[in-house]
Amino acid sequence: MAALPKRIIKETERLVSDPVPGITAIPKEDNLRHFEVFIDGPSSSPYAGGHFSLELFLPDDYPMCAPKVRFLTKIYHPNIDKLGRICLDVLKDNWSPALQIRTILLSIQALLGAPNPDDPLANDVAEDWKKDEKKAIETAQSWTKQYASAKLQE
Amino acid sequence: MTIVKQRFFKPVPKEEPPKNLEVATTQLASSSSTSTASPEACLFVADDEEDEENADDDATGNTTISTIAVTNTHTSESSKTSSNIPSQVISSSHSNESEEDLGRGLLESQINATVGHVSPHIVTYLFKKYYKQPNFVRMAINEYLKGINPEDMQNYLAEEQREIDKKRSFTDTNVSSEIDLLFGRMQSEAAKQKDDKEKLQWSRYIGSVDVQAWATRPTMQPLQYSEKLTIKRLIPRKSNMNNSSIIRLCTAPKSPTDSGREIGRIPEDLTRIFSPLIDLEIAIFEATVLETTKRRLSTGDSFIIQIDISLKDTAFKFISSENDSSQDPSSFKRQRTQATKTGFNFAAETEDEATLRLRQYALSRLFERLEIKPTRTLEIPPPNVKEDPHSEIDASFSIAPTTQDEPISLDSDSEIDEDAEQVKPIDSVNLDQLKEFYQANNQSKLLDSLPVTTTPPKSNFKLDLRPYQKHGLSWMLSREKEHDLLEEIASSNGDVEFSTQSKQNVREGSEGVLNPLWRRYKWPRDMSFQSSQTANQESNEAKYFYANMYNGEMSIEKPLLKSSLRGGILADEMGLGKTISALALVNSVPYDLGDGFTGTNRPYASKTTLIVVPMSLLSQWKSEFDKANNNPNHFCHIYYGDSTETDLSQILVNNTSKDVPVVLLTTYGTIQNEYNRLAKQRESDGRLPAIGIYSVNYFRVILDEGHNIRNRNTKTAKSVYELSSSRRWILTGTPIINRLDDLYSLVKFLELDPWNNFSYWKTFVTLPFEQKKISQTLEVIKSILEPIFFRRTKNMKSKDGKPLVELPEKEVIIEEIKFNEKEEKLYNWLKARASRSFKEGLKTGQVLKQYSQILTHILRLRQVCCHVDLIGSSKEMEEEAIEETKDEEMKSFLQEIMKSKTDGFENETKMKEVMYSLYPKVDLKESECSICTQSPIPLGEMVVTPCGHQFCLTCLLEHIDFQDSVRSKFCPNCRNPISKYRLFKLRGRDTSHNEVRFHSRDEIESRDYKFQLYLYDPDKTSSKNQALITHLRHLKEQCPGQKVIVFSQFSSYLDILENELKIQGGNDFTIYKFDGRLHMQDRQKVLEKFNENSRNDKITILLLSLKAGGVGLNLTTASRAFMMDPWWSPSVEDQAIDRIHRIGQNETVKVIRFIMANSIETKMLKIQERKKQIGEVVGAEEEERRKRRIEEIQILFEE
Repeated sequence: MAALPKRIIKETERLVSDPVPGITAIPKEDNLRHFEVFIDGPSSSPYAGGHFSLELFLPDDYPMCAPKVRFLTKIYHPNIDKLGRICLDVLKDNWSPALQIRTILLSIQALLGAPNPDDPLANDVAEDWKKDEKKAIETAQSWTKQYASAKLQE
Repeated sequence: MTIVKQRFFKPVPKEEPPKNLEVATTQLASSSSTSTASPEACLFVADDEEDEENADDDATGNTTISTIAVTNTHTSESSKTSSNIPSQVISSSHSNESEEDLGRGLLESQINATVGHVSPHIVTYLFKKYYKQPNFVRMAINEYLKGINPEDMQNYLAEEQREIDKKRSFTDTNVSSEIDLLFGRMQSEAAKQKDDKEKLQWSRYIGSVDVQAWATRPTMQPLQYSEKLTIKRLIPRKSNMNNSSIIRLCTAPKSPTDSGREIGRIPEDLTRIFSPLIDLEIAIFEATVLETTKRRLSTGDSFIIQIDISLKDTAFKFISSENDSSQDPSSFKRQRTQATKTGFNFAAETEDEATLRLRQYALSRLFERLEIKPTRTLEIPPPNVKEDPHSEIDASFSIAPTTQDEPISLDSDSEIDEDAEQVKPIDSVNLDQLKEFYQANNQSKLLDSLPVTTTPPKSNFKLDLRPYQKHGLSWMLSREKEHDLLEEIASSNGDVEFSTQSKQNVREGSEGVLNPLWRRYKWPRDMSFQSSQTANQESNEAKYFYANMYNGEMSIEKPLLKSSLRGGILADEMGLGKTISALALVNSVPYDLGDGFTGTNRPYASKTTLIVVPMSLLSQWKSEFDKANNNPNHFCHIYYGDSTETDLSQILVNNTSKDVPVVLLTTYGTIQNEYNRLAKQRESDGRLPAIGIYSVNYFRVILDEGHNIRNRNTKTAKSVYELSSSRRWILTGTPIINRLDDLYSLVKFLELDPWNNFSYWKTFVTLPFEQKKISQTLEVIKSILEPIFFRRTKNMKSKDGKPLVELPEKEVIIEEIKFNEKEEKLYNWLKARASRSFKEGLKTGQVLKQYSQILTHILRLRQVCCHVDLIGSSKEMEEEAIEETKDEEMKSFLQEIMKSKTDGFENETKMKEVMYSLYPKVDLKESECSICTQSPIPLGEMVVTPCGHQFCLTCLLEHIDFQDSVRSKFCPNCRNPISKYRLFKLRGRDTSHNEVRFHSRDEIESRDYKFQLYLYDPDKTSSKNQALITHLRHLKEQCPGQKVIVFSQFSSYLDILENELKIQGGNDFTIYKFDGRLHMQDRQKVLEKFNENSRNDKITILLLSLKAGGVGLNLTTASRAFMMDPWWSPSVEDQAIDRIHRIGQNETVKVIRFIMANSIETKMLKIQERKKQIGEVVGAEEEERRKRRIEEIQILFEE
């Protein structure tokens, strides 16, 4: 395997030495481009108390193109589908090489705090959200409790 | 005839009793007094041409000998009498009567007036016979014209002799009778000896020519059919033999004393051919009248004769005569020459060489004239069928007059002349030729027959040899003629392959191979006029004879290239273990067990091998020796030339064997020092005094890195020539550095006869090579070296198909790069022009004439592929050329290329406005590239966007290019649109705040800046540069501290690269450049620096010119190379890659070859492919090369 670009090493070091509150990202031992990520649900959101597991992969072209990120934990969110795929502009067209793993994960955390049903990925969830936001939030809370509770993780 | 016999007798006076000699000298004195009196004296001996020649030679050469004999064996008294004899002869005729004297004078003047100059002998005879008659003058002349009766003359002369004898017998009658007796005995003795000699001598018919001769004097009678004529060559002896001379035809003498009379001459052209052959006594000519002339001849008349030519045995004895000194006096000279061969006495050979040349010329012309051609059944075909030896000779001859006054200089003077011309480009060897040469030298029956399992005795030698080294050892042993040992080892190793047949091959192989300079000829059927009479002894003789038309030597036996030399050149490629091979040899045969060596008078150090090495390798050799040595009695001594050791014979030639070093190591420097010191004290015979390194005769001398002596005029070379030893070896990985003549010095050191004679070398190698007879020359070299030269390369495979040495893998990747827009535009424009020019050339059939023009076009195209700036200053880009372009758009485009530009901005003012506003935003210390997170960004690499963000140039360009296909480009930091054409770079110059304030409208803080912004020009770099830099950056990230070679054939491109690499990667790269412009003394420094272990993680880059650095360098510290541009010949590129892919390289070698897509470079790859298939044009003549080139150009221009 080709050696890691300096930037990736630097980012990894910084993620470990200067972690973002509520976010951990640790590269896997067998592939340093493959990260195991945990994001805590924002406190003011239906996902509060959730401890979400994600995986992040840095493609060869990184940082020219965005990292690939996916939720592993089941989550009820209009912009995240059943497979854990995330609809976020900076992960797609709005990627800029100036962005980093840290900033991307922060964006995802922010996405949890501010679901955007107008630009849905999981259409059924988005529809529920639009129809009955309160009920949707409840569902999200119960899913969080069911699938993403910290105790369950342990 | 008696006189002749007496003359013949001269060389043997010692066997006769002393008194006998007295008579002999008497006779000699009288005869020589007459013969020297007139050149016509030879008429006397006209009946026997051979004898005439011999006698003539003796007369000049041996007079001294006979007089010495006289003084040695006679009392002084008798020698006095003998020297008095001639005067007595004269005085006797004088003292008789003064009247007689008068009459004789009258007769002589009359005869001379009527028939020309006549020998006084004849005059004396005629006078004696007729002077008592009344009209004696007329009678005498009549008799002379009719032909003198020899017996008659004999009687008269004998009578005269008796008178003389009588006079002497008054003093001692006893002596006189004794003398008579002895005289008779002597005569019979001489006759017998002559018979013996004749039996040994033979001659054989070689051919006939019909000649139209012309009469020089009127004859009395018409010439008769089948009348014999004799041929005589008369020239003043003092002149050179090659001076044109005259060959006379004379009437056959009717009696021994009749000399015959000149009647005519043969034409000049034949004279030129015949006369040297007569002079050298190697051919016999017999003339016969073919047609009876209608009337008697008058001056100027022509008549037809047939000349039958036979070659004499002497012609074939040429070579052996060197060993057989009793033959003729000239061999003394030859011997002396041999003795001094080790000295520098080239001048001594001059005369021999001139003779040789003359002989060669005459013989080849004779063969040409007689249409004698070599038979085609030779083992080795003639080197070049078209260039037969004659034309070769012609060529060398026609050149002779142009080089000063000397004929092709074979002497020492010319050798010095030649030195001045040493740097001639013409005799440098090109790569292909070298390759051919090396390949050619590796096939031999001998080598196949050698066992590959030979190892030195374990008790002496510790190490294991690789198979090819064992093979090499076999070869070395066979070269040293240690066949028994070789066979012993082979059998002890149970080598079944080493069959009897192989053994035979080995023995024969080292005996010598057929000399390829020689041709075989068939003896022609005897067509001579008198064939019926002479066809007797030839019946049992060989059908063929051999001749070397290059130097005129001939032989009856099949000439083999014999070499008594023990030793040779081991030229294995670097790293194959020549050192070990040499040590294996030393340990296999550490002492001379034979009967010793008696070549010189220095004491024989029969147990010591002297190894001469460069200073830098001395310690390495010592440790290698210790590593290999397994015999406690063997040790190695290093000789530094200390004053305490001046007499090496004390150490090396004593009896207690344990104290004698088996190897004496020394350096070229040491030897040279001693040589310099001793050269002044040469002994009278030209030898160095036996002091120091020269004090003994070594068993064996080995020169390591033998190419150190490649210039034979250096002191180093001369100093090692004078080492004496019975076996001589040279180790070198590069026997030819740049000229074929480099080999000469090696051959000279090895004393490989005859090539160690520079005259030979020059004639057969240097001159033909200069005349571009390249394949022929290589053929000759091959034959010279084949027996003594052995080379393996790392590419060669052993018998089982495995490479001799395993090298790490080599990956060569071709990376295609796309032109950027501007490059493509320019490329297409140039390409259109080039193909127009080529098509015109094709149409008018003048491709060859426009060859150089087309080549220039092609060059431009290749340059554009590298960098636009390469053609910036060329002629094509001058204004007129651009003006000619009709396409207006193109015109402005081209003009744009030529001047600085303001791409991306509407105008310069706008650009400056933006640029100066950016000054405050640039923070050199805190800058961070958000793409690669490098911080701070080095000044040279930094680029600033109009929005004020700073990036590494390469990162940002990568970003921009990555987005290319997707959508509009934006700044990674602020998403403002950006463009390659609107970026600013920095350089380390000061900018005053006034300048900034002047251009920017904003009021900004007033400070000076430590940098200067300038507009980045994306097209100033080239796609290739960019690709290279990208690769280098990757490498920096992935394998920091790597060393990299970057090859290009354009040194100006290397300059551009150097600049750009410095700007873009000053902190990442350490850059060295090595090209033809680098001074010799700096080259080594650059390479040393490059090879040093780097202490940081920078990428060390060596920019290497393909031509200057493609050959010879060892750069195994690097494992990666980039080839910026392709070369026509794939082998050149392979050579370049071999700088890093060679022994010593431990890593996988990765090579990236940059090729511009859809350009002339892709076509060049095709041509390379083609060359690989049809092979390179090695040794082809210029014309053929050109034709091939044209075909290649066609490939270049096809769509």
